[in-house]
Amino acid sequence: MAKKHIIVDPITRIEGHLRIEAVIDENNTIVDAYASSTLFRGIETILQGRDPRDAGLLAMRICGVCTGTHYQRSIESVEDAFDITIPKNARLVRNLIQGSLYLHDHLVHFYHLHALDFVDVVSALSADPQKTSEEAVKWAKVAGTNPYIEGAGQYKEIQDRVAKFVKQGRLGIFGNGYWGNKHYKLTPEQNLIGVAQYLKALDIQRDMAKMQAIFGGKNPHPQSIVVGGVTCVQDIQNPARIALFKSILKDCTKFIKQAYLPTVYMAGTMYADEATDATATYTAHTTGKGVGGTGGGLLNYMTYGDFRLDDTGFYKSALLFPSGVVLNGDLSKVYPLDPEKIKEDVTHSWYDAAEPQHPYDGTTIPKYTGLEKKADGMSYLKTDEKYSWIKSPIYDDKRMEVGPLARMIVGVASGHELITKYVTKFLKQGNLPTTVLFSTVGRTAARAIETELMADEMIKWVDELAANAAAGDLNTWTEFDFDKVSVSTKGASLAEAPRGALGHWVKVEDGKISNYQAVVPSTWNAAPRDYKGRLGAYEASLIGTKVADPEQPLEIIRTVHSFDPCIACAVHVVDSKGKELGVYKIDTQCSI
Amino acid sequence: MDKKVALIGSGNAFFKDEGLGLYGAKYIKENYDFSPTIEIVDGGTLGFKLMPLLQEFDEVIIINTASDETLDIGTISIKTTDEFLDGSLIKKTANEVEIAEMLQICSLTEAMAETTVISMVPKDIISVEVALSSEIEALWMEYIGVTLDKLKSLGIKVTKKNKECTLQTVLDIFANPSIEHSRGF
Repeated sequence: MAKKHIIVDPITRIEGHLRIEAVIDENNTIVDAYASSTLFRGIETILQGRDPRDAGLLAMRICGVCTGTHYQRSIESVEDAFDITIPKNARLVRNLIQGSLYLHDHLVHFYHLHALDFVDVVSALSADPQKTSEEAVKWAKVAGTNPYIEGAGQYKEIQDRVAKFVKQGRLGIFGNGYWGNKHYKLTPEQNLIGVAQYLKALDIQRDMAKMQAIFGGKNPHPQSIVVGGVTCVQDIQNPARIALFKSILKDCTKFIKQAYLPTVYMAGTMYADEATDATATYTAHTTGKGVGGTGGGLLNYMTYGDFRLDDTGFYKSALLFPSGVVLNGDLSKVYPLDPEKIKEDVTHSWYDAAEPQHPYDGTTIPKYTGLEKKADGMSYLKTDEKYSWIKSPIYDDKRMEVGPLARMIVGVASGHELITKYVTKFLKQGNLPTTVLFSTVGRTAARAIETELMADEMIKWVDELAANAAAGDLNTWTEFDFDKVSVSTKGASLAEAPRGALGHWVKVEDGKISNYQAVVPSTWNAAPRDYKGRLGAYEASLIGTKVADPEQPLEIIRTVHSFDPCIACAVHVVDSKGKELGVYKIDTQCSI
Repeated sequence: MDKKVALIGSGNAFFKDEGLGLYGAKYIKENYDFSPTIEIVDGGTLGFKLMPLLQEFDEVIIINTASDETLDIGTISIKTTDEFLDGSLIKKTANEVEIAEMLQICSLTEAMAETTVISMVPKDIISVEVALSSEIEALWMEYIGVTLDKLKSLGIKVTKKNKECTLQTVLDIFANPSIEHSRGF
């Protein structure tokens, strides 16, 4: 019987576009998947020949989503090359700026880019506000707290507001959903809880952005981090600034604990059947023995580690998130990370290179071979050849997934006390098995767990910063002799962006950058097949997924979104059937 | 009370015409004074991280590209809140998508700035270069003029500075950002 070919194509062009081609069998199960994308690579060429102290200002323009992270990583790769250890105040300020970025990123991702893959907005309009209020209490209790939005009155008001949006045609982003799809599993009341929090989260994210600005500067681009430390000494010595940061952080933490977490428990429970369906997994497809549930994918997880907890310097200090590698979902073993084992392969990428390369020696030579137009008039990826602008990173000759789930998995497998505590608490309170982590729902839950953990740790860093400043230490910058340290050297910043492992590698000769490579999280996750034909993380995660209605690729979008792809990718997919993009098509004729 | 006004330049500075909104904001910042003062923002490739600005200001003007292949290169369009909420903003480049989606999501907040998006149809958004194609450069002052007219319509007095900062100088700043002076914006 002919298999159906689903294409979710948000138009091909440069930078951040994502196209998914999935093949489904007669039972509407995905049996093959290809992720194709274009990400900005030219930046690396632009950096060559520059003063390494200015690299951050160029690198921050790599991508709008991770601007602050790229900026910091770029600066830290130069600090590593120059062997600079930044002062305590600088470390704490950077942790707080990055931490704020995590909170903002995770919250906006969950509510504004991902929640509507689980929450049916239209259904929320028929909810009973009183029952909604009771339902909210129920899920808050699971999280051991009270609901952030309480009382039938509030839910009624929100429901009326949404109804008004619908009437005015101001439903904007809600217009793109597959409302009514049977793979939406929440009750009308649960959907209203989701919608209510979606709206409230718009206010909370604004506060999170304010936190970032207190130490990072007013401009939406980071201002205060420089090679050697930070420049915001005035903010550090002003107790009112630190107090303001702490006060906003506390308010945001309240929302995380009383709204975000309870809602993830609710979604985790209502979607538990999918999250524990081991037959719907890549491992079931490849080995016959499934582990985890829908969306699980590779089950290989890698972290570079991040958030330094002491001042001993790069790759020496204790970390909030440990580095490491977990293979095949085996939590009993963690392998230490060896940066030398990171390579990028371009067999299926539109680049030219003889063999997999280490980023220090990486090249970026475009070799675009295009798509193939078939008789039906549609253009298809040439999946046997090159089909993506993303390179295929491999670690120790294995494919990897990166991101919050990887950080939680590696943390637990390492026996990391804090991470284990938060993950265990989540699973226990939610009455969910450990294997639920190996799924789309697990990936989304891991991000929520991490958000709570981060918010709690940030409070400690603020106090540490305040105490250090009060004790008279206002040092924010480590002096260095540029001419001496920049003769011939190289350095790397291997750390964690909110959406996963991010590495910047720099080589410096005679005071100028001679080579620069960045391997971003979406490269690891959204990569095409490699030289051995092994699937990338998105590709593997889609295999085995059962699609309710092939005309509505809700499940594909839900799983891809769970990785938190760059926003542009995310919204492109959501919008794939929109009139401007207009390339979404089901081809029932194509047999592969 | 005066309205709080922000002008946001949006786009990727390294993809030739895709940076035109960003270059435009910098050009206006360097060549004109405003009374009352306005906030001129380097929106870069930021999408959702611009939401707080729409929540904090009364009026926001975003200048960027609109990669609409059905229109002539250099065509300038002006869209107000009501117009873009119907989904009519062009969404082709990654940044155009982010801005359009961000505006739609932001419109669900209780208080969102009156927002105007002034876009220009680019020619070349693929070359990795800090530059403008000649067609866009030829229409540069028209594009700047449309943006200034919008500001004037809000009751803002626009005065040209004594010393001119050329478009080429603006491009040089983006191509050579430095911690020591301009930081690239």
